[in-house]
Order: sequence, then C-alpha cells, then structure tokens
Amino acid sequence: MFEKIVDIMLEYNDVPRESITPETRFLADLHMNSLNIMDMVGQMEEEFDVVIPTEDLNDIFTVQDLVNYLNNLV
Amino acid sequence: MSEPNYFRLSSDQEALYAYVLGVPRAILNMPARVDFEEPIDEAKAFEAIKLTVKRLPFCTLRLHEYEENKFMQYYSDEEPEGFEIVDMTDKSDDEIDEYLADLAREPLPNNYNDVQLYDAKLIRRSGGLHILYFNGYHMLMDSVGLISVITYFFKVYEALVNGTELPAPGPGPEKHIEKSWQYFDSKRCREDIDWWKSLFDTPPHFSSMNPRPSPEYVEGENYGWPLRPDQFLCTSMPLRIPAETVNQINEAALANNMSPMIYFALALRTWLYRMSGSEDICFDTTASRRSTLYDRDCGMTLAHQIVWRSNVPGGDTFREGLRKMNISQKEMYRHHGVVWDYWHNTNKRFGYPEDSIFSRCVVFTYQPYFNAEGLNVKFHANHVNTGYAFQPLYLNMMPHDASGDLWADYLYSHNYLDGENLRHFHEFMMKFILTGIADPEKTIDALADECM
Repeated sequence: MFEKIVDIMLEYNDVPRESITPETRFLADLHMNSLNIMDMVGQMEEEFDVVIPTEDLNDIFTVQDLVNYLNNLV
Repeated sequence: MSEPNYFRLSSDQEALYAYVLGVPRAILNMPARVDFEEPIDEAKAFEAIKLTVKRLPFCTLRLHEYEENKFMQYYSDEEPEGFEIVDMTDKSDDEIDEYLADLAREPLPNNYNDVQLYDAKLIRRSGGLHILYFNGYHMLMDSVGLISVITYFFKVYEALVNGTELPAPGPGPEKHIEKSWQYFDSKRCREDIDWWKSLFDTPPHFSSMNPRPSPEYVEGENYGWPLRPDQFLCTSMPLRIPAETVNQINEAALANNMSPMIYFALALRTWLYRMSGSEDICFDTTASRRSTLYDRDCGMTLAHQIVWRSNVPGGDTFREGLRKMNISQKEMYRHHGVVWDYWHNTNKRFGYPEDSIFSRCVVFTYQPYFNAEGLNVKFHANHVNTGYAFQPLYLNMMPHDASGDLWADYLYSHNYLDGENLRHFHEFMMKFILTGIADPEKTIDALADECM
C-alpha cells in the first residue's frame, strides 16, 4: 500500500522518492495545497476503488495516516 | 513557407475568450515587473529573457482567428520581437511607473491574431539597477503560468552567469488541451454538474464589500447586473502582511491540518456577512488546477474561477467556522472542473444575464508560493496595473520576494468600491484572524464585533 501511495504522490510532488517516508506530512513537509490534495485524493479513490469523505481528511496528516486509513477501507 | 500545424484551444482558453468578449482587450494583459535590488549582468539578463520565451513551449504559441471570434493555435519559431533595453537612468521612480503603466494598458497588436503573445523590456535605472517588465496574454498564461515564466528566467539567467547547462524547458501543453476536452464526456463531469446543481439549489444572496444600503444592493437597478463600462476601471492597493504574522498564521493552520487560506477566507466571508446581513455567502476563488508536475510545468491558462458558497452561522466558534470553511473548500475543489460552463447555466436558471456578477463581488486568490530558489540576486516582484478589472475586487495574496512577507493586493473598481473601506477591511481581516487564533472558542459574531 505504501509503495502504491508513493507512486501516486510522485505525480504531484517534485521530491525524490526516498524523501517520502511514513512520517512525511502532506502540508508541512510537502507544502501541498488543498487543490492538489483533492486531486490526489480523487486519483486514490479511483485507484483503490474507495470513497474518502472530505471530513475524514482532517485527521490525515502524514503518509502513514493515509496508509492506515486506506488499509481499513480496502 | 509551410502552413503551420494548427490545433484547437483548450476548453479553458475558449471559456476565457467567451467571457471577455465585449470588454477592453487590455483586460487580458498580465504584466509583471521584477525590480532587482542588486546589480545584474545586463547583457546576460537580456539574453535570458529571449531564451526563456523561445524555450518554454507554451510561450511560442500563437492564436489564429479562422472565423470571427473563433481561434486555433500553433507553435511559432519566429524570433521574439519588441524586446528592448530601455535606458531610464535619468528618470524618476514615478516616471518609470508611468512608463510601465502605459505599456501595461496597451493591447498587443493585430487584435492578438498571428502575433507573439507577450512583450518584455529590460529597464536600466539609476544606481546601476534594472527592472524586468514582462507582459503575457491571459489566453496564453494565467498568474501561475506568468510566475513560471519569471522563475524560468531566473534559472536561465543564473545558468548564463555561471556558465552551466540551461534548465530543461518543460513539456508542451497538448496533453492538457486534450484532457480539458475529454473531461466533458466523462462520468466525473456529470457528477460534478450534479454537485454544483445541489449546491445552488436555491439562489445565492448578493453580498458586497460595501455595507448596505450601497446602491449595488438595489434590485433591478444595479443588483445582479454586469458592471458598467466605467466600473471596469480599477486601482491597485498592495498591503503588506509581515513575515512574523504570516508565520503565526501558518503555524496555527498546520496545527489544524488546513491551509492558511482558510483563515483568510473565513475573515473575508465574515466581513461579507456583516456587510450584507446574510450568513449565506458567495465569493469567487481561483483554482490554479496545477496538481500534477506536468500541469505545473506546461504553463498556459489552466486556472478556473469558481464560486465558494458557504454558510457559517455567526453563533459558531472561530474553530467551528474554520472547520466548515475547510470542508466547503475541499468539496468545491473536488468538483473544480466544470464550473465555467455550469456557472453560465446557473445565471440563466435564476434569470440573470450570463455575464452577471450577481452574487459575488470578490475574487479571492491565495498563492503563497514564489519559487526563486537558486537566484542569487535580491528582487521584488509585483504586477503592473492594466487599469482594468472584470469584477469589483480582486484580492490576490502572494509573496513579492523571498522575505517571507505576504502581500494582499487589492485590485478594485474605484467606481464601485472605496479604497478606505478596503483598507478598513484589511485591518479587520488581520485582527479577526489573530484574535481568533488566540481564542478559537470565541464566536464569529463576538470576533466581528470586536474587530470591525
């Protein structure tokens, strides 16, 4: 799951693959803006065939948070 | 000479062109100035700007009108024209400002047909300093595209100075153009339309930066109607937000896992709520639509102006207001693709003219990134006022340099809004945000009373 998520993240973030760790934060470390995040979420919803309610995104700070969240859904 | 290889405009370009039919053409100029605060190598800077527009694929695009008001586009390999080094070493700052304002007001030649869609000057000023002036046509680039031209220029200049390899030029926009049209046949587009329909199942309320009973609230007279020609004339008022305050807001926002934009948006909608007396507020916001690295690098006009409708009761706490705005923004961003077409339909549905501004008088853009990484010269960048604006107020928040300061650029119709009132709004906005951060359990109404 982590690797698949990083694959998608690299389409949106100009950073070396090895710099993305489970602790990487979407806002504080990658400086993603809300629009980028929502486009990325849309792509992940398609990739994993899930729906991620917007309210749930408030609690997803890090890549690991997202991995845990998607693991619970799929 | 062989016939150019014409290809269609993107859906964004077509919508933009349709939107501005009948308004002054200079309204689509996007002029910027970069004031270098240290000496630069004049010859290399001049060479760098020519290389920049020749190497960035989207800059080499030209429009060709094949029928009245119908365009195709094509790549041109013609040399850039009109680039000059202008010696103004004996001119005052005011004279230079006036010269740049005159340039900014000038539409590009030949009604933009079969000509280069940008202009550049390198101004030599007193003290051995320079200003780079660059104007790009909005059909070719949005503000993010314009910033990408300037940041690419910085990289080329540094490469020329250091004798290193020139930076890679980035992809052409063809993939984006294709995607922009495929979207309209997609399931996602249909879902987006449904979402916007449900958001606007009731007519929105009109709001203004001015308090009631300003004349724009008068039904049938001003309310809901397009701007008069004299109301396209605008004034620019940039107000600085110091780095220390920016950092304070950023830290609070990151702790709440939300964009600092939400804090400014809550302050703006609270002002509009207090001015109009309705908790149901709309204002426009710009979605840059450059999520992937390809989108970031391909230049062009990709931004959409979309309508942010929110309902935050005055009795909600600051914390709850932020939460609601954060969710409404993200929901809106999920469905950002459709709006150009949809918005026109909404106007029709509620009986307003298609080009009506009816419910919104502010376009709020938050663009806190200006990547000048690698540039070893201090600079200050700003837009140059063309003298025209589509809507009563554009509030653009962006850095002008690498200091960490943020600037709130108020570009406003001075025949519609009052500068002093906007200055009052700015003071309100900052006080509202900082007081709310200090005590997030205060209600929106209590904060508004305290900060107005």
